[in-house]
Amino acid sequence: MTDLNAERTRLRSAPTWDWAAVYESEGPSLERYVRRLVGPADARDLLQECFIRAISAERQPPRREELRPWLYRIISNLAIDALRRRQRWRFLSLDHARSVQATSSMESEIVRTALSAIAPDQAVALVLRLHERLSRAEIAQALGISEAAVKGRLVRGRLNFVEAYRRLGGGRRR
Amino acid sequence: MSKHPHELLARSLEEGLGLVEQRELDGHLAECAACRELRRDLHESEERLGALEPATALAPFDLAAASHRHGASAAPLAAAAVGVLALIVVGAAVLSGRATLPPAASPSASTALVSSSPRLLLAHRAVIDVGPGGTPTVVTQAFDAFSILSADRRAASYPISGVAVGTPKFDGQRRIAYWARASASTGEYRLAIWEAATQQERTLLTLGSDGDESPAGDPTWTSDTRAVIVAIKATSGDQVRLLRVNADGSGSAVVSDPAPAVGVVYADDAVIVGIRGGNYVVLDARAGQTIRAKPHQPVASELGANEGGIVWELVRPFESETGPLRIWRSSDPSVTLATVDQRGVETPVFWPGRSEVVFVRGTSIYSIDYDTGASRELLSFPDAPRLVAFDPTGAVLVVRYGTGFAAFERSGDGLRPRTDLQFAASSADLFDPIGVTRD
Repeated sequence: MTDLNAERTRLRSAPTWDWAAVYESEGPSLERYVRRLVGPADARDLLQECFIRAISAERQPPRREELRPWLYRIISNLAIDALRRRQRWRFLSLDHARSVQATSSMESEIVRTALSAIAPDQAVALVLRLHERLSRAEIAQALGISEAAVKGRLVRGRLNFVEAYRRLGGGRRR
Repeated sequence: MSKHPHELLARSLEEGLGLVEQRELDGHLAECAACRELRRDLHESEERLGALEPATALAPFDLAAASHRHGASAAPLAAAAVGVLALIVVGAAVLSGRATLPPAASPSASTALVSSSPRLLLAHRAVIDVGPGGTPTVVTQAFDAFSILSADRRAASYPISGVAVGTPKFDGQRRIAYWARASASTGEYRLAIWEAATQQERTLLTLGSDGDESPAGDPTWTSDTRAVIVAIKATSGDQVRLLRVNADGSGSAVVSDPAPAVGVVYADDAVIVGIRGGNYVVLDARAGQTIRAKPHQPVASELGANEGGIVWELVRPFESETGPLRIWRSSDPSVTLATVDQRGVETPVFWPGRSEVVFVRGTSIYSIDYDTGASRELLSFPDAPRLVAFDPTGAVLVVRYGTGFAAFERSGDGLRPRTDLQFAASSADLFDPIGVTRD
């Protein structure tokens, strides 16, 4: 493993964090969270980018309790960008839905595909709420938005997810 | 309750409803099988989304690999961001005199500079699915029509053949270049141009129907708008070839044979400049050889270039407080012409005919002169506006404000409202502004 503390110094920041330890403690949950959104291959890349940005950030959280929401914010923004890029070039059509079913029986893959079909900010809020079990207040802190905005995203996201999931023919309905 | 209470159903999962709302919901559910099914699906979606991903061994932190990937991703990011920033139109109300001006200016409806009316070009997003009442529920980035909003509130929409994928690129005058397919997931790729004056689409180039080639990023207009530069990659491998395609349909020329991907920032007759991996490269526009390359710090940024080869770079390092907007010449990115060393800069656009980049910060619109480095406030608003674009002459700026659009006319060195220029309504969330043209 790269000597993270040496790299940290090279990357100009002057934080107090032991980033190797932070990576070991927070990395698994961050990776699992973002894997729900973008799949395993992209999740690994996003985790790496998340820590690159964290280490090189000019301003880092001074307190331990602020660190986790901050990392969630970074990786959520990266996930939203990744989902937007994916939507730009992949059109979720019926044909694609069928191919998903044909090539994978994994429920999680269908869930991920449905998530990728709805607005990325809604998908992120949904996964933070239902997969990561964060409260609305915690999601608001992690995403840097108001609790009211979080609620709006969750309500719209739930409905849009159901529609997308139905469209994909997942579950019992189709 | 006559309308299906879908939002209420979803909200009931988030928080307890009031007595009246709960009673209404229960009453509706007792009568409506479709809503009972939706409630079941909503509950089941909680379980689906809540099912934990299995724990896996964490990959070691590989800084070198991560940095490499970060650099590699900068190229398509840059290519996608050149030109128009995607904005979402969310409504119809047109701003009417709510903007305030710097002291000594006063709103008026002058026509001194505007001899022909500006028209707003929009791209309409393809909708996968609609819910009850025709409300779009699944919308993508693919576009199936272009729309023209005139300044007298008239609106017209023009479907295109298939859909446009990626980000359509406006030439700053009257044409839009884009990649199109039969649907966003099927069909051969076509490089097409849509003319605002005729509302006609022309195909300039078609990639092989065997599907072994695909676009690598959006097309880039050359500075004289006579051609577009496109990058095409083989399905297998990461290398791309660059083509210069004449916009009048008179043919194309290969600029470079397969080489590592480059995100094109600027192109003219002599050079094509862009980002390739961790380098900023200047290529010979005819032969494709690398004339110059220098390391380029990979950062998250958006880029835009004008016809003179001036580039704005909106840097977005997370939580950074330094240098979010930087302006440089495409010939040498290491020399900063001007910078706005503050956070919160949004939607920069070049002001045609002037050496200024106009941008939003907070609730105000500012400009920075890249010849002098001087910055000034042009307009202030009660809430944050978003810039759409100047018209080709630089006489009119269109701004999205609230749920509609507003027009401002150049007045000396400043801008003043043109409340007589009013644009029509647009469906929520389905239109992306592309640019401003003229009659």
